[in-house]
Amino acid sequence: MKKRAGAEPWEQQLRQALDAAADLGGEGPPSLADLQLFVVQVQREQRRQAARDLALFLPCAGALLAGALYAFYREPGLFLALQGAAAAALVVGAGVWALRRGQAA
Amino acid sequence: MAGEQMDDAALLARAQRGDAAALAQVLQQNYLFVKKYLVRVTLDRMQAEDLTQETMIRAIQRIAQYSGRAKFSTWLIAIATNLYTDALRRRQRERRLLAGTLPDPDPPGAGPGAGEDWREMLERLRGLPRDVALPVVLRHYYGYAYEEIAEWMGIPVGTVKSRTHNGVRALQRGSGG
Repeated sequence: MKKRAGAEPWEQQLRQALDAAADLGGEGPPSLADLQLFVVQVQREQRRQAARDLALFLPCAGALLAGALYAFYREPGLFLALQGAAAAALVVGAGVWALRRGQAA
Repeated sequence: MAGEQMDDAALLARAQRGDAAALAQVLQQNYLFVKKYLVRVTLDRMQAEDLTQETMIRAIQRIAQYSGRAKFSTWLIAIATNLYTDALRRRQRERRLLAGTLPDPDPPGAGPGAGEDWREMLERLRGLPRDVALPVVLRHYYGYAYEEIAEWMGIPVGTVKSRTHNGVRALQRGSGG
């Protein structure tokens, strides 16, 4: 947090207003025990979600790989041309993304 | 002070390695800072509580991504701002769909004040569109750079500057400043 010295009257009033609004009346943070339990619950759910995602990803990736190998076996020229087009689209997309990000900076 | 900073760095390192106790301690140290920030930008105590909870969840989920380049409290502010901006966009879409008037959010309780000026300022701040008030608070209360604000809100720097400028002009009207 980098509070600047608000010299102008309206900035001082803004500070007063926001400090008054944020007066929590002596309220404290949750207890360490409660927070630790909360952290453990969130981490556990995150691991479960990752396992579910992996269980979905692996069969899909396997099916795509099998399809690609079959296509390469049957039509190698067409398969390589499509791969080249996909790679070119990826490069163009990355370039556009980098350009837009650079413009926003 | 140097010793404290090393302790904080060591605590964060343990938190990033999955130490739940260390992460809980780091979050507890920053909890009120985040909540007060969200009360200041939302001017809605209930929404601030919900967003504080969501910020803690996201921080736990993404702690490994904290690079240490900025202060941890700044990283949490970035997360909170991102969540609030998403909530604002959802609310704007809902308003367009409902095309009706939603009830005003509950105003935060008025604490002890030095006079009436700050109350008028608070009313002017509440009257600003939320996506205008947010960059004003981030810039003129917390002192964050336009580039940081733009990144957190997901909008161009120029838009941040124009919203801040317009918001400041609205706040200055009638304040004598």
